[in-house]
Amino acid sequence: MKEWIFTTDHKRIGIMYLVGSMAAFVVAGIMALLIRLELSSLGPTLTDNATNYNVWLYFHGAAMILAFLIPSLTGFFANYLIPLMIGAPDVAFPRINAFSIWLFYVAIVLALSAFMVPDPPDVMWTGYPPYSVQTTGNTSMYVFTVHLLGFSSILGAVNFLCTVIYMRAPGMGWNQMNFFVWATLAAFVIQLIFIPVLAAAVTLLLFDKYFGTAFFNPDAGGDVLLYQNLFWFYSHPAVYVILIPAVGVVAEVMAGMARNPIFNYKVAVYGGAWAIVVLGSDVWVHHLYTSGMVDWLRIGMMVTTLIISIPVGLLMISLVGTLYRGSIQYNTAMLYAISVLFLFLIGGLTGIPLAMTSITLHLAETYFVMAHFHYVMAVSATFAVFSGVYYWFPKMTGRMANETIGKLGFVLNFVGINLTFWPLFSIGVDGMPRRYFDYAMFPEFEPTQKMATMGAIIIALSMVVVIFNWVYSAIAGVKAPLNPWGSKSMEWTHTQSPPGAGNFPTPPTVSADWSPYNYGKHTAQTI
Amino acid sequence: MADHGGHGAAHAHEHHWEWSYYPLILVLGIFLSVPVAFGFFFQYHNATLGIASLGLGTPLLLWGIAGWTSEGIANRDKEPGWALTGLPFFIVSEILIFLSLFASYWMLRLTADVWPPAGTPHIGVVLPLIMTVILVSSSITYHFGEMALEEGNKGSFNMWLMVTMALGLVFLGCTIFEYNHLLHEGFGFGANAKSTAFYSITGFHASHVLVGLGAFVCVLVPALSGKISHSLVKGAGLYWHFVDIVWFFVVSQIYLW
Amino acid sequence: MTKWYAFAGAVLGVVSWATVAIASDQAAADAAAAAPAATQEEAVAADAAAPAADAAVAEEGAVPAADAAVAEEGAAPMEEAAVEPAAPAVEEHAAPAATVNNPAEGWNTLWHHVLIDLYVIGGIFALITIAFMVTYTRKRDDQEGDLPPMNLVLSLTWALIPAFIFMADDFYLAANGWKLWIDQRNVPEGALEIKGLAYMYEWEFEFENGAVLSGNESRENPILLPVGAPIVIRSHSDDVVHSLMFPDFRIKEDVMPGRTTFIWFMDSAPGDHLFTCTEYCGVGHSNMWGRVKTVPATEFEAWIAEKA
Ligand code: HEM
Ligand SMILES: [Cu+2]
Ligand SMILES: [Cu+2]
Repeated sequence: MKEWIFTTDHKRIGIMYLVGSMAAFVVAGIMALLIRLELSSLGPTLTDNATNYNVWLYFHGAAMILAFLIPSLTGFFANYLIPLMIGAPDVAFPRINAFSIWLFYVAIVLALSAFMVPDPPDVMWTGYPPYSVQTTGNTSMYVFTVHLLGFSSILGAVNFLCTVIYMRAPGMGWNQMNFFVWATLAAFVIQLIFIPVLAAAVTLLLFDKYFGTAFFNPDAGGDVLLYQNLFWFYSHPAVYVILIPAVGVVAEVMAGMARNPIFNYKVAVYGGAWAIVVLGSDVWVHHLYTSGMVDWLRIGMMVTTLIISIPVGLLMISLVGTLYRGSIQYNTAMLYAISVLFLFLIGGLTGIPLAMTSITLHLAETYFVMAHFHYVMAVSATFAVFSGVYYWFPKMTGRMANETIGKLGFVLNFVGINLTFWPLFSIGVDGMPRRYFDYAMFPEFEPTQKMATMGAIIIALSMVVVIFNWVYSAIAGVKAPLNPWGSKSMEWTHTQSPPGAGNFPTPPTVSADWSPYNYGKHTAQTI
Repeated sequence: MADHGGHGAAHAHEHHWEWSYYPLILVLGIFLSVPVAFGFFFQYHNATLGIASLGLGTPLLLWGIAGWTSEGIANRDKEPGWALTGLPFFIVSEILIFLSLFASYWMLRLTADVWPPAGTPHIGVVLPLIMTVILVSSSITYHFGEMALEEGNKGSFNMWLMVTMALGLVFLGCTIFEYNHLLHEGFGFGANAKSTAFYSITGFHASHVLVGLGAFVCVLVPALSGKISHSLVKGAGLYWHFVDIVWFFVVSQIYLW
Repeated sequence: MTKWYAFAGAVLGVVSWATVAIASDQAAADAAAAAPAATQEEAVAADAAAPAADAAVAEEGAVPAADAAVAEEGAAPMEEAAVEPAAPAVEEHAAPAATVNNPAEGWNTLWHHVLIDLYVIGGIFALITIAFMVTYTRKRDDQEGDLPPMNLVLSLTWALIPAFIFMADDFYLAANGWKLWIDQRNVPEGALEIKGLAYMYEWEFEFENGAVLSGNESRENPILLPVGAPIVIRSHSDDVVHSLMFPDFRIKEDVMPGRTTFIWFMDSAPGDHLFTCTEYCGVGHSNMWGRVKTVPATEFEAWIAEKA
């Protein structure tokens, strides 16, 4: 037992990340359901106190991003897979790894206690001052949740950068790494460089609220836009912390299930993932198009933001191209992965108008934005997580996930999310603002809001099915063969399922021709 | 899978599941003594509960650090020894925190009509210059210590280490003295934009000096009984030099400009 | 069996795409009707280009063809971009109010263009994906994929050509976006000046003659504004950040303490419109809204004189 709880093994820590982040997902999902039920009719529905709604929304947003997506992608997947994919016995600093996960857990506890304390935080996941300074709500809880998770992520970044740089199997060159490893590396570089800025921003918030300093207080020479700039300087790149590993997972699943190399692997790595890291640092003002920033900055960042479509487009081409002349098998993992191609298309393309300053003067802070980022995060990235869990399920548990239940869950899930989020684009364009407890001024949107709520109920159902399937199959699933998908990647070819302590019975070494994608006649040189 | 866990089991011929108590203990310590205690003190104005959680958290924190360090030193042959390659990455992060603080300061200052704003007392430059000398000498004394260690002279290392720590403490003392003086002149944290930047940046730097001193304690305590981990010595030194360099920026931006 | 899944996936994909198209097109529909003839033509041209480009890409060999299609699609808008944005900026001050570009109409037109752009890109990607999904299913259990080997030339071709396509499109959008931006951010001379004030949870508007009108009260008795005249609201906030949005005028801007920000708009036909707060400001956030009604200038003058 203590070998689990106090473990420093990357696989167990990975699974603990999965459990923790799924728990956060469930709670934040319940919040989403409450939010949607509240919105299903005009006027108060579930509660007549808008503060309740605001606290749900605060928790939903903060937890979904900070406690579900980031930890599941850079916590669970990175932990579980990176050492296995590069042929290492563990990460560079196992105890720091354990430290990171506990920071993550106490951060969730802190965030969850929002429902139990008096004066819960009601500042939304963005925590803009002066509201967050003036509110009687417990802003310190928000700040420390960010601090704990940020510290955890920075240490994770240090850990994995060292792991990938120094612990690859002898012979493994940079271009012989799985795309997922590259994707995570890029995400961790972003974390390392940008989280400190967020940490600083919220720290200043703490000083302002509790020690009376004046960073964001214009009466004493401060500036409210300072916070927004610092915040988005991190939080825009943060979406790439989610997006790049999510694409990495989808790419691995598609390569495995189509038994094809990733199309144009090197361009996906350097022209896709790393170009995003570089370009992603000067686009943050696109979140401030209507914030009163100077005009030249707003229009300048329109251009940089639009240019990001190039690396993102290259990643999409690599994903679609991976199917070309492939040998595609449609199991649950692949269905989730392939649906991401379509859903991310919707999410990504609706980002293009939002990149255009003049268009966003109308669309900012409306349901159009809400629908856009849900298609990117709540749908594409989340489906990437589900896809990955299904794909590596046999690796983690030694058992196959049940396909029938899995597909049932997928279909419900797919229908549900589209029913929930499509209609929102249209009422967004017509002006429905986000973060509204009520919409008395727009009675004509009620039917659309109802439809979205129905969708949310279907999503909830589908999640019950999905999670039941995982639990059930982990306990009673069919025993998995050693390499159920016929993959060439090291986590399938060089060790058993689940791998034992130390990962590999014999430490792997690789030749110059080896690559995780040597399907057909391919060698590392033809990818 | 052999069931003798922990870092205590040396030279296992087969892999076993590694584990350690200390990460969890350390995290609990941090959790209780920082976010929880802060919330009680400043949000709910409940000093009793605040002190209680500090009282619980601090020992856990110290226990966690002590246990972690000694486990690390006892098992240094099992650590891959990349601490010194990881630390620079971490320092990159730290640099960015300081940069954000400085950027905020620049934004406040460059958009102000008059600087320093009304209500700012005279802030002397003599004390900060003395503090600079102190901090620089502490970096040098630590370097002497490291040279002594290379020659295998552990006693001399301990001596230099203690001198370094003493200098660090004097530095912190100077900060406290200065704050005390300024607060007495009515220059509170929230007095104006200058106080905002001044206390945040110098305070944040001072907290790093404190962390550096903490790292030195982790070196010193085992060193007194002859146990020295070279990567710990080097790492603590690297961090200390970093804190030292940041101070130059603090002095030039806050005091001299 | 697997083919069926592929097919179902494909259908879902197409249906989903179509639904987005329809759902988000509502606002654009009237814009399209109002759009000048040139716009329609361009739209048709873009539509027509799509299948061609589509076909070209689908046959992976035919890179040069795709390239040509791109050149056509990309080059024209780029030239347009180079010339046009400067023009309105120069004219703007001289222009009498009657010929001022209405940013809301500009927005509707541009929105329509952007949607077409998105449908084309999205359609191409979706169709290719579906074609692949249906064609390349696994036939034997031990079958492996047969992706052709990559080499430097191929790899760069597949990076640079798409990059140029995207870049051309980006510049096209950026140029048009910029053009509209100039209309949105340059207040025409002689605009009706209104001072806005926001606080939790109310709007106040002060007119040139000193009349102060409340946002909350305007829900029953809408604030009147002159039709056909540019109107500028310069606002600040007394407490936290708010944001003043007129959905029908396609405009919003945050309102905060310590700075004054502005929005300007005009209405071309008399009508009822609402405004509301779009920056989270606490428990009354969704309750900070009101109504305006645009009326002929003479009616407005009489009404506002009475309020002074
Ligand atoms: C699973 C079903 C989900 C539903 C039904 C849902 C529903 C909603 C709704 C209705 C809102 C906004 C309400 C408002 O503006 O008043 C919202 C906000 C948000 N959601 Fe979700 N959501 C879901 C999943 C997710 C996921 C998976 C993520 C991210 C990983 C996510 C991230 C966010 C964020 C960041 C916000 C903004 C919060 C804010 O405005 O501060 N949601 N969600
Ligand atoms: Cu962004
Ligand atoms: Cu508001």
